[in-house]
Amino acid sequence: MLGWELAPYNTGGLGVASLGLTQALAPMVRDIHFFLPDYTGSDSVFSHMNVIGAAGASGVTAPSLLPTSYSDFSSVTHEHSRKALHHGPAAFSSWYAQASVATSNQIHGKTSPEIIHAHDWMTYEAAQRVQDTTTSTPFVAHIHATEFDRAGGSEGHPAIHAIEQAGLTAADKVIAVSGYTAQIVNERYKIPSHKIAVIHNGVDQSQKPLPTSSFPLKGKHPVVLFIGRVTTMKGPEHFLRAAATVHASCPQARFLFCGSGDLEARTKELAAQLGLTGSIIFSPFLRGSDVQKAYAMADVVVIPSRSEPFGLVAVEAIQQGTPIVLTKQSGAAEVLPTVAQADHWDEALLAKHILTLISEPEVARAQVASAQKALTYLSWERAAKQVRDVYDELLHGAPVLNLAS
Amino acid sequence: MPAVCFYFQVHQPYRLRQITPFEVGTHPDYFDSLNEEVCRKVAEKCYLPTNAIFLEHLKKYPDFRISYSISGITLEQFERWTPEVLKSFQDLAATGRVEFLGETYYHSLASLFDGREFRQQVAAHTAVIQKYFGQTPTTFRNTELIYSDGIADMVSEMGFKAMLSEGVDRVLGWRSPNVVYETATTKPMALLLKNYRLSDDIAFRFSARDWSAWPLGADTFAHWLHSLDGSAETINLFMDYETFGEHQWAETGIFEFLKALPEAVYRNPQFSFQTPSVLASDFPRHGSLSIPQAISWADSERDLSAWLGNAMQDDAITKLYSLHDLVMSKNNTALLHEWRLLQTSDHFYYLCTKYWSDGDVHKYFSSFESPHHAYMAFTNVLTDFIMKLEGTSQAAAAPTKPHRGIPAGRVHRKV
Repeated sequence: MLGWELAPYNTGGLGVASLGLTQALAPMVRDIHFFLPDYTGSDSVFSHMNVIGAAGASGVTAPSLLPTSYSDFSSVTHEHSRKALHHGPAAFSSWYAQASVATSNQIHGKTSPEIIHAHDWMTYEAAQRVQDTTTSTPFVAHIHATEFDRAGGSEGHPAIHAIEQAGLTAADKVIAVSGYTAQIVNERYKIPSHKIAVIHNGVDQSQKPLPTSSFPLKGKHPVVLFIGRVTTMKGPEHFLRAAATVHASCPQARFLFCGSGDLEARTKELAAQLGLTGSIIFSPFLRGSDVQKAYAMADVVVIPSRSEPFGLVAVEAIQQGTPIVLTKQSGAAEVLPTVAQADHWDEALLAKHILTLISEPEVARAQVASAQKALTYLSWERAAKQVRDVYDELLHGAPVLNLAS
Repeated sequence: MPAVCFYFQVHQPYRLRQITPFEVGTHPDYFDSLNEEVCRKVAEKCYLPTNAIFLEHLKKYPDFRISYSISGITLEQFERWTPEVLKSFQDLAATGRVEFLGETYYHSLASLFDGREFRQQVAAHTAVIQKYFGQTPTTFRNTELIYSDGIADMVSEMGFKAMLSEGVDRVLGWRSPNVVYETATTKPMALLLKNYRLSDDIAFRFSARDWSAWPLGADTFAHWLHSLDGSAETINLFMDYETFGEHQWAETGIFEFLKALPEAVYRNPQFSFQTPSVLASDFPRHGSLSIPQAISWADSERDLSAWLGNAMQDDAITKLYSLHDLVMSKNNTALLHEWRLLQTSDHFYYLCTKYWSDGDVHKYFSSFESPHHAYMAFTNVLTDFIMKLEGTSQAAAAPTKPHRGIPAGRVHRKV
């Protein structure tokens, strides 16, 4: 498997999904060799597989491109992205390809991997080059987010788009994390539907809701939460404009805005322009248990994404028992059909949903109850089985049932 | 008979800390432990050595005079963390030739937003100067030399005899900053304007290696002053006290410069060192100067744009002052003090986004990574403070750590 980040060394949902999927998949396959651009640790949370830092293992180091260790992981993964973009996506992509081929040769020697499974554009060229070294190993392109999503619906970075296009075209199978993403892959990248499998992400079902009584804001002020990367894709400005509307009719409401990203400065200026100073609390990117604490503290979580392949936040909030408002441009909307939804541009409707959920506890409770029921479907084991089916189809022409047992 | 009038600004804000979302509502301490650290560091690098030099000068030259403006919150910090600094200022005061100017206790922008607040904070500052130095200020310097006719009116009503401001070119036009003017107020006061070229030669350019006058010696600087003999009646050198040893490190030779300066200036026997109150009472006034629009000594614009103008600054300060009635209704000295600590101008200075003009200067003074980080600190703290006011935080109306040295009785008194 060719990866980019792995929780807890992550800046986003990709790292979480990579960990959850591999944990559930490991018992169903022989071995997983998971490549990261750089990794030298030996975390016990990765004991289900072999995690390899391509930079170190291959000797194909690119010191100007990559930091040397994951000691400060949040800044390191941010550094990755920053440097990758600075040096050009193409330069990064081809370096990773070169390093991955060398690493793969080292691991597999004269043999070949049985499946090459690559996560998002950063790894697609690597997957293609590794595939070139084999005779017939199938290449699965797993797409967690497209450049259309990241660019908030526009074309995005042409070089990244080109790498995605080449990877998706070359792949023997594409796994999309939602029907919404499958549609983008089909319409925008012209990949035939039969080559795409929709496999919704799993969620960690062991998460127990936190008690909410310990938060001083709770019960005193309705708390409306935005949590996520502060980028165009996540629609932070939709949140703020909806917040201003909510603030006008419910001055007691408080807004909690958690996340880091390239729109951080602009969103703070916008919050001030909208007169939210003293009613809005900002926090940089939260990780670990703080994320769940934020859900627990909130009375409603808003996911205002302009284009969201899946949207783990929606699921995590529901697991915590906090109602959500979701944009229709999101994969999670498929699995949570009963939650409050609006188009991302419809800030008035977003605000209306927020106001309903903070003022009508019955509505909020009913929404959470029905959404929690829907979530039981979203296990990582189910996702892993579906992935295993894709492998079997590629290797044997049809899914082999009950292979894991 | 030209006079050299030194006024030094001594100020340290209570810098805000980044409080996390989980602290909001738990009445956390808003202020950074950095404040104590900075206070101690600047005491050692600047206040103590510079005060020692000036004490020597005052002993050696019987008519040597200087003036200081020390914000109330700085005196509080001295009392808490570096009482030896307070003592050294008291030693200077004891010479009888050091004038302490009036300002707002909280180094705030209240003069622009709320006249009642402004008067109360000035009264609180007067009280603390009386307490520590046994003087009643008669000269006023508003926060960052912010000045307008309207502000001067309030100040003259409070009984001050003189006021300081910046010698802004667009206001002075053909006129010189080197004479005493009169304020355009119902009760006229002496108006003293900073000679910013000569002041900034010390405060900003002293260590600039790309400056033609580098390295600047006391003789050269005295020569520049002497060359104004015949045209100047006073040369007003106004600057941050932290210039000595902090903005300009000891290694730059700033202390040697300071040690040698009086002797070099006295080489022309026409020259003397005076305080603002002497200038106000003994020097002729060259007409009245009307300044309807606010000016200041900050940035190259010398207007209010260092603290006001962008959305973050405007919303933060408007929200803060809009709490006036609610704060007053609580009749709680500690809450009132805390509200006023949030008014310190530095919080709004850190929010400035004029990167193109004096961005590097703002950055030097800010403990935050960026104006946006400073905004995060401010809105988070303000959210907590409003909860405290509204009684929705965990222990309603419980204040953060009370600070010593507040003349509580005076803060409440209407002046």
